[in-house]
Amino acid sequence: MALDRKLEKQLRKIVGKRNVLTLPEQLTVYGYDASLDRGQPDAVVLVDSTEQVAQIVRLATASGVPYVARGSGTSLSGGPVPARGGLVLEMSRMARVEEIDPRDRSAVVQAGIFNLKIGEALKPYGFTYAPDPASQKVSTIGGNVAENAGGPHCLKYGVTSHHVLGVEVVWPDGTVEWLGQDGEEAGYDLLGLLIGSEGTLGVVTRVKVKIVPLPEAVKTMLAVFDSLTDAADAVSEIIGEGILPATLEMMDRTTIQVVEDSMAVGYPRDAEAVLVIEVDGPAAGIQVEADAVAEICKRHRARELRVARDDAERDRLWAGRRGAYGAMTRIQPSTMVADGTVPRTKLPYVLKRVAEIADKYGLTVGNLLHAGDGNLHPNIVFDASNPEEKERALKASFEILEVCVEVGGTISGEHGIGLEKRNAMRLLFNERELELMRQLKHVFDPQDLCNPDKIFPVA
Amino acid sequence: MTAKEAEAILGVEVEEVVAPETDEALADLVKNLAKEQRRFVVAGSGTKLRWGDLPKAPSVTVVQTTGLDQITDHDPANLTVSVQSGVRYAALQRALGEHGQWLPLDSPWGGDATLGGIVAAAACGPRRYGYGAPRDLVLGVRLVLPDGSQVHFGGKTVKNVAGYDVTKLLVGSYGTLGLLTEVTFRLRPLPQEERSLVLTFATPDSLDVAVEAVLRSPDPVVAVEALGTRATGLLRSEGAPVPDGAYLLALRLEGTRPVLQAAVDRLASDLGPEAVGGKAAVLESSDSAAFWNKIERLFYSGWQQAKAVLKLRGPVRNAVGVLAALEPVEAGLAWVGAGTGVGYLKIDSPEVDLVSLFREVRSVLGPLRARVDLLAADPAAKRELSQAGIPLWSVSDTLLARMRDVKKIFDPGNLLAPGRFVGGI
Repeated sequence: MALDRKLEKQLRKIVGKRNVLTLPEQLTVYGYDASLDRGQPDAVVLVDSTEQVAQIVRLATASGVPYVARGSGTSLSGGPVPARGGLVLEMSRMARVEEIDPRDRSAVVQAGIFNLKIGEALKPYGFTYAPDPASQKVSTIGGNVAENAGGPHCLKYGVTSHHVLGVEVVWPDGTVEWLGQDGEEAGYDLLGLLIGSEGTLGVVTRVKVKIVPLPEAVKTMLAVFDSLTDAADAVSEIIGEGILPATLEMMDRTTIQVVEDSMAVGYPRDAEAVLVIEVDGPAAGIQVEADAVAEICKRHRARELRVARDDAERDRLWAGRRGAYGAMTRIQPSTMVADGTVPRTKLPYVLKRVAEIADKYGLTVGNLLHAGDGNLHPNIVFDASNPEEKERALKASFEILEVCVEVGGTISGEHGIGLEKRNAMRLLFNERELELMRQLKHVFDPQDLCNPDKIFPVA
Repeated sequence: MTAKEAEAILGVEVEEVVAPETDEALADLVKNLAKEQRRFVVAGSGTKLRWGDLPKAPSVTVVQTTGLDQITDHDPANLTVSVQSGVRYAALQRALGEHGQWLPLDSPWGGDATLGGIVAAAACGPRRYGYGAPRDLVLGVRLVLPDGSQVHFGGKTVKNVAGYDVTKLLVGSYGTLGLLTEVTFRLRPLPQEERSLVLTFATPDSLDVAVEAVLRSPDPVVAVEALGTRATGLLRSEGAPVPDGAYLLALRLEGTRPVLQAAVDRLASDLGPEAVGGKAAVLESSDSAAFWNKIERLFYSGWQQAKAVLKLRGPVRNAVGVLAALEPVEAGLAWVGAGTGVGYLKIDSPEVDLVSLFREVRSVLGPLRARVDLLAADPAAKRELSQAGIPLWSVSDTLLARMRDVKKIFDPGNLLAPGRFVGGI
């Protein structure tokens, strides 16, 4: 659908001539995210202020044109893909830190800022922003809010919704409102509803985040196992013993080898599983906690325990974990990452079923897990240009989600439903429940123009 | 609870009090009541029935959840528990304690409070600073809608982003959207030990400097409560270990022994006479717990008799400012969570002119960007305010309009606790 000439002119008036992109070669890159779904916007608008966003939303609403706000496009579920065309609001120019107030334990940032930049800005104050999705170098806080992003450190510190105190939002009717600017609001928790709503209820333009003091001490260790089940049991026991590490990350053999091939961070290539465990907190307690974790790992037959001696070694252990997803494409050009979450004691069983499903469909799967949270990311590697192989990958992915639900888990822990998992929503919710969610969407977006076609099943 | 008892609190006729014992019985009951267009109010054990506005209906039926009293699924290895909504707080903590775990949430209004009521009122106490509010601890809910249908949102895992986070809407919804039948919480291991540091300061300015130092420290502080001069005096006169000084700051720390020792030593010196001017008393484990029990008893337990309790909400940075601004309001006892921005003003004397007091509080808090709600009061006090045209809650009209639309989705017939919540929802 081509952009209406009059609308185009009005858009250029709002943001300036050069800040509206309409050439096909410019638009293509805004049709992607990190999932398999694709769309094509009619125009990309580079916005620089809340007022511009509000004007554009009003214009889109008046013209009946769909729109979606976009950060860096790192979504793994199709979140920012313009499913119905229309406008993409490119938020990356709204990337300022506007206020840091340690006395208030808060900071106010614009929605387009990269997650990691918030931490960097806070560091001189001795503070940080806790949620750390693996994409944090480039993913934006606006996208994090939309997806209720997690990350390794969420085991101890909680997910985005625990760390967002307020947002400025442009509602689909074009009005601008702050929720939680001066402490908690009375009434229904609309802020809580907005976080994780995948950009379908409004466009978030500013975020007031909770900031926490940097921990006094950190110890990062790598535990190496010859059995995936032993590693998973160690995870359950650590938590069961009352220890709450900052992270409990797991990688399986396939993932370890791919990481070593591409980054050579020093994971043992013949191990069946490694855990990247970080404990943090007051200096007086750190050694005791690290020792307790090490003891449990040994009890579960860890063959090696390596404690990072300095920041460089710590960074190397983490580089492997953070880069693992990208490294998967060494095996095959495409990856599809599942995001099921299960009660953590079910992990050994679920991993066994994942392996069986991979065998059944003749696919390679590398597992990457936020094991402490029971959140598993089986990476299915395949060639998306081969339709038959893509079909097998999709089927395998769906079956993995069925297994997660079967053991009392959920189909998405942190990546969102987007386009990718819409039809898996029925695994979790009945028609009455879905209807209530659709009605909520309608309350905020009666014309169904704000990031439409996401979340809800189509088939 | 008898119909008479409920009537005295709700200020309207109570047709009957019914207490179904299963989810199905509850769903059937609701369906039948709805068919007859009867209005109903949900109650647990009644510790917070005084919260919220008076029902806008000539008469209501009270649906009591205390028959739904089973812990349905405690999974110690996963640190989660699912409970029926009528399970009582003390009973749950006892059961969890046998496994070395707890629900990290205070119930300063008593151990009889039901978990359904705690969640519906989003109620929590001083340790919210360290562990979060109910919204942060609830993983999933089951509920019965006014049409009798049973639905669920969320689940049993800590991370879950499937669909809209409808659970958040239910937490703190005062029973106006649906009747909770089951709630799933995340748990924590019981802390090994606790300590408290009780500090007093001569002026709000020195108190404020101390609070800033606490908020900047990475120590395992789980509660940061600041008390106004009248609350400080009351605590002292009741025999709590309170040093000389007008304003009090109470810090609760939880963790392992070596960590606590190091933290308490450091804080006592950072906030002490030479640094900020605080006079400190350090309370070891059982004394620490006793101190907080005393706070609960003196400040939270008398809400059923108090004329009114006002809830104060504002930016964390202004929490001590709020406390100082309320000093001239002589009729009230004031205390705030200096790390959460949420505080209370308790008015005991029945003689107080609530209307002018409310106006006074609003005007002194305005410049501090803080807001005030009437949280709990007797029916006469609520009528006094509404006759003077003062809304019980502070909420913007635009947000309120959206909340009304949300209410309509869940309860189109306006049968559930009509008028009890913000803006007459």
